[in-house]
Amino acid sequence: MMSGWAQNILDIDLTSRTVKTYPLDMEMARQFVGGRGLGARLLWDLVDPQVDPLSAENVLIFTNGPLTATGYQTSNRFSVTTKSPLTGTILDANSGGFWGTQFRRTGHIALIVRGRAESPVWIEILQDQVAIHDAAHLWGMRVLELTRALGQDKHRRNVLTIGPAGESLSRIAAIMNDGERALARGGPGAVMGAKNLKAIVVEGKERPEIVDRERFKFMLYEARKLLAASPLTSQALPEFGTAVMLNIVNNIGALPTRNNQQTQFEHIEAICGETLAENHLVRNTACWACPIACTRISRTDKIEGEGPEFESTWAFGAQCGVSDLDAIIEANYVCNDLGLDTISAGVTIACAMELSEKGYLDSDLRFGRADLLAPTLEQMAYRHGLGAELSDGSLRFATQYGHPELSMSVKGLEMPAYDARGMQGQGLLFATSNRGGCHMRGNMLGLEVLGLPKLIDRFQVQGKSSYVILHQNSSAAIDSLVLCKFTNMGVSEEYFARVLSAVTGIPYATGELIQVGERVWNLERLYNLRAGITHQQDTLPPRLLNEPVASGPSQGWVSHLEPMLKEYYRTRGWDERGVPKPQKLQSLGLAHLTD
Amino acid sequence: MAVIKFFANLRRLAGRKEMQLPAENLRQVLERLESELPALGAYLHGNAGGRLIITLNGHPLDPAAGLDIPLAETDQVAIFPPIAGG
Repeated sequence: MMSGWAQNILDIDLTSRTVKTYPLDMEMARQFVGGRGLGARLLWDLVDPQVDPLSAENVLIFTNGPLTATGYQTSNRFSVTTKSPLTGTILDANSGGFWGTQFRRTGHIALIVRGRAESPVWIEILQDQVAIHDAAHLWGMRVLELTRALGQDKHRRNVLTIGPAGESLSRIAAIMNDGERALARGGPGAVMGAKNLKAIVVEGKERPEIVDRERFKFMLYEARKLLAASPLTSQALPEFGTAVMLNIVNNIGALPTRNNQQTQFEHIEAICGETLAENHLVRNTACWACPIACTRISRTDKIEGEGPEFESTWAFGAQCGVSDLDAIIEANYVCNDLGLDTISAGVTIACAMELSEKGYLDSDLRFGRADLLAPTLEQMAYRHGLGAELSDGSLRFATQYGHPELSMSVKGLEMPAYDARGMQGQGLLFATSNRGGCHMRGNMLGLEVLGLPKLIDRFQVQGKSSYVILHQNSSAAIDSLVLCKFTNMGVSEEYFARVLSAVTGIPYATGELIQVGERVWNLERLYNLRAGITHQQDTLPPRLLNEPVASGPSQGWVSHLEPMLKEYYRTRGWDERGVPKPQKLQSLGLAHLTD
Repeated sequence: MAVIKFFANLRRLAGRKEMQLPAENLRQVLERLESELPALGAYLHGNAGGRLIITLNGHPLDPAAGLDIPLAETDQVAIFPPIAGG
């Protein structure tokens, strides 16, 4: 008996306004599980890697997984897969909140959105009923207003939408769900905007089937105990949220500051997680079925809303040289309401600040100009003034002004809050990430800084590739379940495999689950190669490769990427140009895709 | 005297963000913290105490290397509870 998975794929063509439903291929489900893995496999069949991401030929694939809505800890997440308009790579982004659970309850494992509507529409998916509605009156609305207007009800009816940034086809536009959660990275909001699709509302009643319910209930109980026993998931994340990371990354000299010109921020105390908790925290809150509750509700004199997370605080703070935490919180709030990716937005503004300070750009943007954050974000979302150019991310912007080297991005995706010169393995991870500079495709923070599960030398080069690959494969597996990676701090992959077995009735071993991750990683790589993204894009900005850190604990270091990369390709079973070898594809069951 | 910096909930337990301590090595630092700051001492003896993250002048220390690490007058020791995120 196989269960767990929602059984149907919903396929909507906005050009012809047709709606189809067909059953999930269960062999595909077994091989790719769900979420990111299933999305990648479906995209492989549906979208030619050469298409323009903003054309009608691109698709949006929303997926959940076999654990979604089961009640297992953090089983609330869902994914979107598409071809990225920012990077040209395959893109997966996932998000928490409540929408994913409700989507699963409509009885669908995946929603494919094809084509382009003639005029703005929104989609309503109810139990056994799908409707495409006119959205002319909704076009132009900001995220929070629109979410309320379409009847957001946390546990019954959930809204996913784009904001003005997605409508204006900003290549760093996010898709927002439940108001302030984001499928943030790589510009999926622009793909949705290009389809004239404003929102997707879900309302369902189906309960997931669980094959071995007794075993599942016991594992739920065990996981609750493990998460409660871990000081990470029971103390640090609930009390301080992710922003607690600012101080330690700054302390070791790996916090990108002023567009990576420095690696420590002298005003860290003004913007750190401890200060956020002391002066701005209203309460913490949680996604569906999450006992960790890392989300912050923060307040300033002007606004109250979710966040800011570590990455957002850093992007608008240290990276822009801004020490005004009120302005950072408000910038985060504005990004959510406009539907912009906070990391890409902050890093793009930081890039413009450096261009301005060096005289390459005529603007008022300067490091530390907290007052310009929110107005610049508004300009970006609506493509007004300089915002029209900033709206497509730092690489296009810096290239336009003759200095692409000042874009702190990999494959065009702005890197997050770790300077690769102070964490050599993290640099390799960024350079090889299939969606560009990203910390969610694996993260070396645990091993290189926190000692989780053990400490390895952050400056060591030799031998790093095996750790990076393990983390990349593991993250792809967790993204395919789909669960929050924070559960992994209290519960191991071995545990996930047992839960997956209990829910589906298929006996997954830990190694098999990690192999799912490896399969997904290699399939994504194949897609990128066909899109023309090769080993030449497995690199880092010249600043990180050539400019030694000037001061602090990482002083004198550059990223020694080249030897790590060679070792990485070899360990992955790829050739020297980063192409998976036939025997590797054979072992992963992917060989038939390249015949 | 070495400067000891506290982070996250350790600030609340220590009642301060930082302090100076005369100590020849890291072991002495932790022993003095336990004796001089009872609330922090109780935490250090608990479950999380064995999983502290300690940096010396910005370099993470490997707990497996032990605590007999000599300290100089100008050294900065940063002590974090078990934390994670990203």
